[in-house]
Amino acid sequence: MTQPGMPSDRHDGPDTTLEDRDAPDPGVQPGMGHDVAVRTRSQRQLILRRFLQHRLAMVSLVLLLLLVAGSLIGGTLWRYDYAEQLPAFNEPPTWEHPMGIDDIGRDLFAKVLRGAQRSVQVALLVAFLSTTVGTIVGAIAGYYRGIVDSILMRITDLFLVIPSLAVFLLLARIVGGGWFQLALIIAAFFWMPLARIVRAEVLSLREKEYIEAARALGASDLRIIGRHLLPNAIGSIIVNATIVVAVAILTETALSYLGLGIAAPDTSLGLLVSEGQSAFKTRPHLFYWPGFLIITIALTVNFVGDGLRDAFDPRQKRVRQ
Amino acid sequence: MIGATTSTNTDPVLEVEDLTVSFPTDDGLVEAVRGVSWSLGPGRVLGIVGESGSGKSVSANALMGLLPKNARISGQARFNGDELLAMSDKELATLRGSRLAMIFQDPMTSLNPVYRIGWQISEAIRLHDDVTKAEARDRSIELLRTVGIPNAEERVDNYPHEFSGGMRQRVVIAIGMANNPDVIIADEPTTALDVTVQAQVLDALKAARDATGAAMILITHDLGVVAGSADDVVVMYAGTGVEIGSVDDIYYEPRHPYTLGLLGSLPRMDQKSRRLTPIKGSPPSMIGIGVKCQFAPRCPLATDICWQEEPPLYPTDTEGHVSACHHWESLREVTDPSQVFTPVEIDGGSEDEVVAAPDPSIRPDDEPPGEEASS
Repeated sequence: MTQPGMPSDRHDGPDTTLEDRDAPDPGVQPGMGHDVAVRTRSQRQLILRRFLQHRLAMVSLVLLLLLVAGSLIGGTLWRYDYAEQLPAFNEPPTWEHPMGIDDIGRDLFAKVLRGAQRSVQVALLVAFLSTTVGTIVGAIAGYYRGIVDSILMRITDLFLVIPSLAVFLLLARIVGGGWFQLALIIAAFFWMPLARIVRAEVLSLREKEYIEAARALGASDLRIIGRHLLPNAIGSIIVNATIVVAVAILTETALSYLGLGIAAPDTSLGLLVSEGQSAFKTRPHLFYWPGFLIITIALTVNFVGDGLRDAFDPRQKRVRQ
Repeated sequence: MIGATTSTNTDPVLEVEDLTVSFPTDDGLVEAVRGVSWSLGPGRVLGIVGESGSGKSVSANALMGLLPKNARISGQARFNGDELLAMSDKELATLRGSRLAMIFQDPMTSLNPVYRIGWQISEAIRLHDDVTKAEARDRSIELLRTVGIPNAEERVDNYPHEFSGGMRQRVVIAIGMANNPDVIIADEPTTALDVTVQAQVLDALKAARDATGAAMILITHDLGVVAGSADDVVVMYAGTGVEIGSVDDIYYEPRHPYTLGLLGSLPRMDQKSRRLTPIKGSPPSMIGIGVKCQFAPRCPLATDICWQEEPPLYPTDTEGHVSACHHWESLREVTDPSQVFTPVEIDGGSEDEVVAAPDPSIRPDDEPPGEEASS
């Protein structure tokens, strides 16, 4: 099997006639036989190009990256710590404290940075976990069909009908208020839509002839799923993941607001909104800054998701201006 | 050109015996393949011809183990002495793509759109052979050259959508021959292609065979393709082989009325003004097939025995040429299809409603119906 099956001098033989036959046929090889240099773009390059030219998505992406980077490392750079008790309290914004100081003497900017960090961490972990689980469940269900499909999809249905808020309430009491636990709990209720999407994609893709061809080549099930089916479904998976990030950040906010999520002394954007609303009339900046950040992150993530969806859509021939 | 690699006294590389495939459906059991037998010698080309639904593709997929799980398969298929139909999917997977390769019908869909073709050929090589990526890539370029792709060094990095249909089919052929298989099964390799490209693809197939020494099963409904490429022919009708023989036997001395009808419905350039003689009616439904000659309802030669007994494969005058027709001997005298089948009217005027005469003379050459039809 390893021997060079075809010695190269073979082409001096009858095969050259094959190549000759193609030469005068321009229809077969657009651009190749001539001096016209047609730069061929790969699918990946085309998608990237379409995405880069989607203005709203690009602006959102830059803003989002700044926000995420700022929230993840900003806390360590800022001159105050979020838990540090300052001698002053209840101060309006100044140059020293851009967002003011809260009622127990902590720098609000430091708290917002810390809160955004926790919220973003939770959202990214939720997106990662739910995408992984959803993709695996959907791919297995769609590929093997039959009884495997039925069992996995009924489990998916079950998770969809469980009132998640009640479960959040229960679990939050049990596992406490760490951001990691919170992410696990949220992710447990976020994988189902993707599982259904991936299953539907795989069900249709598995009937393609190239999948049968891969099987005829001796490829294993795992290889067919991982190397042939999922790369063809990657568009839906990525787009769904971005949507999950946005929804997860809002869910985390809501849970923390209700007191079921991240608990003091740690903080998150939702918790900050909740703390700030009591002073809404007198010191609105306590409420507005975290709220503004929540909306900005959720909105930019959604716009990026929109841009990605357009970029992956093969029918989108024209690049949006 | 034909039979250059023939060596008759070696054991067949693939031997199929009484292969039967059926699918349970809500309407009943669909008997897609009903006991077909043939053998393929090393380096030979076996053409399997028949119309849609005659069981050609199903029998090939059964050999490759690519049928859906609900398919019921019986019979024997010895590949280099090993029983294919008894193998587990895992054992088959090691054979597929390495010793047994398959080329699919539609090149527009049989390549994965998200990978470069070099990746896809390399995958075929690396699935069965422990070589580095660079070696696999060199080999891929080599293979692309063999099947006649110009600028193989550059084209290896192209995606399938950058190739035309004929070029893609060559890539598919290159993948099929990547591991020097013993048998290449080509399932209608030219059907989805333009007529002008078909010849090029057949040349590429021949180049692949020459390079690997593989035997080939050429499944097609195009008699012209078989005539030009095959050594032996199996004519399939209603799930079984009705006539088997060398390509010359089948074309010059057909001993089954179905084969004769197929030849008669083929326009030919090498015979002066000849009316086409279509076979009237359509193939039977494959559900609830009774014991009879399945071709009888469409056959002008059918007699009582045809409706009562399914004909076995009778040996004919030439060795290795068999025909499943009770009346094969009466076809000895037939030189032209119009002696058995009614030629078409040129104006397309009123046609006989009768599909097949219920009790015609067994010797059709005594009263050739071709004369009266052209009046």
